[in-house]
Amino acid sequence: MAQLNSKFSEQAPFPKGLMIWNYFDHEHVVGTHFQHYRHVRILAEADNWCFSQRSATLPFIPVKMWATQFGYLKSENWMRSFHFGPFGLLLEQDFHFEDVAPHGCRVTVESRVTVPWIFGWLQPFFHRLMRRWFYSVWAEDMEMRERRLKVWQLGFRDFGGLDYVNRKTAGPERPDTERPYPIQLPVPKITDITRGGISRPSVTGKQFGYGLSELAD
Amino acid sequence: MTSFVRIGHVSELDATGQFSRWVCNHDILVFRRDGAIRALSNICPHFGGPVGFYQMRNGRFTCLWHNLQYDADTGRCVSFPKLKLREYKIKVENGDIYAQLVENQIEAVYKGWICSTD
Repeated sequence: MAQLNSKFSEQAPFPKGLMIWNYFDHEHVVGTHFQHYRHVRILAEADNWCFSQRSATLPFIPVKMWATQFGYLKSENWMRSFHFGPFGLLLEQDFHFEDVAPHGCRVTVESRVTVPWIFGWLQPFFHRLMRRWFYSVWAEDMEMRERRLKVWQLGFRDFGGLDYVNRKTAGPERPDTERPYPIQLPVPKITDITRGGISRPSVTGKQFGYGLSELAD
Repeated sequence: MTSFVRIGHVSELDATGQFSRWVCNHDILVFRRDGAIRALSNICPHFGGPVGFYQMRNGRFTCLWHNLQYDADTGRCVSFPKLKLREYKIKVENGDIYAQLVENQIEAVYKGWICSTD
């Protein structure tokens, strides 16, 4: 047997709690990552683990593929993930979260899959595929994390929004950059993801992105 | 002090009929609907996603993050009616669009709300 492997690492200016929220928010994969994922369903989950079924299109492989995934938080610094794919292939991944002062986090992802030795020559392809996937998904998540942190520091409450917006009163003059971001799992669910699963709706159209920046007076 | 704050120009609606912009810690989605200019909060009350990421279709906005859909007329979430977007009062002067961020003026002054266009 041969082992194909890859390792990538990136740093983000966001607290670890937010990063882990992002990884365990399974509902966003057919939203934020609609270009990669077609369908996701949570089969079972508990506080620190989740077993899900996903349909995705991988880089360089123009075919929709189904896989089941089991991921769990071994510690607040380490998430393990197992993807059971076609042909009996098992992709194992380790996500290491490292605090970076003052409020940042470094994520290192190690991936490996064991294949018959005759396919060992696929190592360069596997590395390219995982690299493309990692950085593509990372870029999409970065915008999401950045916005999430912004609203969080303005006092956002899940399922409530911003109090000063709702009550039409004055808001904070500046964001609370010291507001703690605790690790709280599981992430609350609002869709049918734990029943029949969810897909991207067909009503989406032209994209405008995350919007325009502040007006310069 | 007025709590109406300039958030853009009507010409910005010409191309697509909508835009969103952060102003004074408010993310505001401005759009044309049946000839009128309206503004809703662009912050999904679910987890804070961008409601106006996509162009409005069939009178609905779809948040990017979790695909929650909002009725453009009411601001209410179609699938989860407990979630609702705030609507901002709008006025248009000389092509400039202003939104009233703070409607409780007394509290605004008390808290030292300083963002205005005076």
